[in-house]
Amino acid sequence: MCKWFACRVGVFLAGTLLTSLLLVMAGAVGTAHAQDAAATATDELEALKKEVLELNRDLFILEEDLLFPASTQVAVFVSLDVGKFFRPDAVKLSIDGDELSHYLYTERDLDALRRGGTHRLYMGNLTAGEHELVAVFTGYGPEKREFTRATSLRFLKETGAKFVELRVSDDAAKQQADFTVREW
Amino acid sequence: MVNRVNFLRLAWPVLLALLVVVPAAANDADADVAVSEPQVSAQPTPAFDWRAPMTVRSLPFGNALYEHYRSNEFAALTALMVADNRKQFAEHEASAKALLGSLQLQYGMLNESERVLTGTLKEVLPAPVREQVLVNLAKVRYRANDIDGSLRRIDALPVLANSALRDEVALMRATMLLSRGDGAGAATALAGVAADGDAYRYGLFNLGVAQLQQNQHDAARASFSQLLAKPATEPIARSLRDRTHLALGYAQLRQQQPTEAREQLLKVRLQGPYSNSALLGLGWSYAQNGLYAQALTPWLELLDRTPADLSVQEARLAVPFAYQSVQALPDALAGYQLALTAYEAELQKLDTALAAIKAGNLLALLPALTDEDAVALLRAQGRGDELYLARVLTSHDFNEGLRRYRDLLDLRAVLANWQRSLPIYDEMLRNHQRRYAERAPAVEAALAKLDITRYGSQLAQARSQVAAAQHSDNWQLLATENERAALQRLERAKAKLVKITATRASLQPSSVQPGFVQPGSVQPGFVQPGPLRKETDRLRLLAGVQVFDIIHDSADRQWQQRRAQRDTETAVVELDVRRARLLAARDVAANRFSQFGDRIAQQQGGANKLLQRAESLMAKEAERLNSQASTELLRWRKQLEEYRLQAQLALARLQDRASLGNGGAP
Repeated sequence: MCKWFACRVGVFLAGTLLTSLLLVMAGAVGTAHAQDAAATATDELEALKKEVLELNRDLFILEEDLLFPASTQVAVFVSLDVGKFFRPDAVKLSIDGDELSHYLYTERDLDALRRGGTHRLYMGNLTAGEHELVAVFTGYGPEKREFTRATSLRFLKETGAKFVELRVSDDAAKQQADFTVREW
Repeated sequence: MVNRVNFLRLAWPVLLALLVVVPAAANDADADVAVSEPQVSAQPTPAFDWRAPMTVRSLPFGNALYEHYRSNEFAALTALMVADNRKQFAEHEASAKALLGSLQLQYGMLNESERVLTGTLKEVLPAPVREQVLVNLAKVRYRANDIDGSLRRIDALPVLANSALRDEVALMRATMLLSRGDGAGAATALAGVAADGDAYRYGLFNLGVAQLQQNQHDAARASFSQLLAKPATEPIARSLRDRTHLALGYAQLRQQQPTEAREQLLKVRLQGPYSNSALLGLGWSYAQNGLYAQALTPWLELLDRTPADLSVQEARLAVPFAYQSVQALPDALAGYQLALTAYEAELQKLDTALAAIKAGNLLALLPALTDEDAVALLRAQGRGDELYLARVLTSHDFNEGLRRYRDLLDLRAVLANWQRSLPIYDEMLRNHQRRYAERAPAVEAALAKLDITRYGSQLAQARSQVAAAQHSDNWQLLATENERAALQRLERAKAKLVKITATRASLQPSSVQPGFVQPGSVQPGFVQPGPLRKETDRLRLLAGVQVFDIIHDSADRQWQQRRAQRDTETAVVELDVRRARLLAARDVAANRFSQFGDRIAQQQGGANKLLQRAESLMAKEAERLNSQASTELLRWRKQLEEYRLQAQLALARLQDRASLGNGGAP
């Protein structure tokens, strides 16, 4: 009985060990080859990423130059400082009475705004001269009370590109949000 | 004793799979997949918070931050590069470059990242940003598998003020030291980690595994105990806890400590991803004690489980072996036969999967694949090989390739989008050009008519008139058009009156003095001599009223004139500016159109070339993935063939011994 068992064990042991060894060796050889191939692929991908990003940059600039030349370009940005007294839900932008943008903020957008990001709400063209911008914010204040606030700005569009910032900041003294519009 | 060793040898492929260092960000689904050597883990690069040290004073830079915080790397990189090209960073120049380098690192552009980050160190950076840059430079070398370079940079780091960054560096150092087999160094590095996050737990686990591999069992137990002492409520932590119990259990099995091993293996969750391996090990732990009947319980449980698992396949051999050990020979015989049938069926499924890969089915799936839905997607297609394919799809190496493939897919989408847009811009430009050509003659005619010099001299004349009107003597210059007409009418009336008076005087007898009319002395049929007093008075009154009106409103009128003069001056200046702009636009129009046309054509060519390159790289990557999947399945197939061979041998020997009359006892 013991002899049979020893034989069986021997076959099992030899078979399994051999298989395992072969698998490991094959794996090791295969892995080294695969790693080289993967490294080359990663390098090629990096080179492509670099070129695509550069092309993307050039095309963005071309697009802006073509569609929004500096002489008529107007861009409106939204920023949020702290946001304790107001959590924006949506913003509606009008210039000279025409509604140009209506944006709904997701939680991810708000997180980015709270961390110091600036959202480009609108980019378009305006003729030189005086214009009126109106932004209507809808959102929630403390105690999750829903409210709407509007802010406006009369501004002069001159020959250069015009940047306008809609800023929602916390006024600790008044315990409420402050909505301001700033020309850059 | 020999018997026990044999069991463990049988379980060796499973054990190999278990004693694999876990990549810190590894998906638990790939935990059972065998990898033959410890891998350097890819530490996730946490999104760096650039907020604390700065108030954003450049809207385009703020916009790049916004995209970065929304985890939209590509958009953030583009925004930064565009703003850099337009010189819009203002005072954030150095910080923006540091962010650019960090994003490039996240996006896998190691060479660019290193170049940009090294460049930023020459600038004045806010202290927290400088710290992050230095750590990222170490990370670049680490991601490039240059362990020496990365460790050198870590050693050169100043004392970091940011505790999260300190932990990150310690974990990175521990992982690198582990990959070099320096367990003690890794343990020291991990001891410096303050926060108890997933990365730290993975670090401890990897340390324990490395210590086991180096037969430092006490040290490994200490590392694992440290890990097990931590609460595990989250799925990842619970999964890691299962894996720790499993690693400890198998290590104790190898050390012939079945009772202790059992204790560990019984703590693995029965429905978790490691339960199959735990059940198999549990059976071996009973078998090591000679308790074959008890070993049958976990092994039989395994037979009812999904077959695409090495533990399940191994249990098919272990069950009849246990029957044989307790002299249940008919059951053992039936068990080996069942095992053979099952192996045949599984080998067939593997062949189907291999054929599917060869036929390109996997490639067709790649664009739609995501980590989470791989199995669901395959199952939805009603294939029998989904579990094998799913195992391939969730393996670490395959996922690395898949990540590259997805990056290429994204790049191709960007390029394809531009390829669609550029002809539209080209068309738009042609429309502009056509409209310009249509309107140009009218504009030219208007420009030709426009005599700014004449306007200038008229304006100068008007200016001197306004200046004269500011003197009170020149009140007439303040009169309106109507008033001037009225004044002229009055003058004409006065002249007429004088004339009438003269005529009347010439008609009077010489005794009557001209200018004197005696009341009541008028004779019928005779023109009364002398001045027409009544009309003269009336005329004087009217002239007085007119002058009074003008002088009374003179201040207002003078102001109105000055304003009109200013408005006219502005209008003339504006007209001049517009004229200049029109002339300039006319001069550059042809150039502008051709310049945009050239730019569009050039970029279109570039986009096409890059698109071709992306597609060629995608094809290469897809082929590599295909071959990787086939290799993985072939390794599985080889293992199953080995099990089948063992079952055939065991069955033959059982039948031989039975026919010789010794009952086939082992």
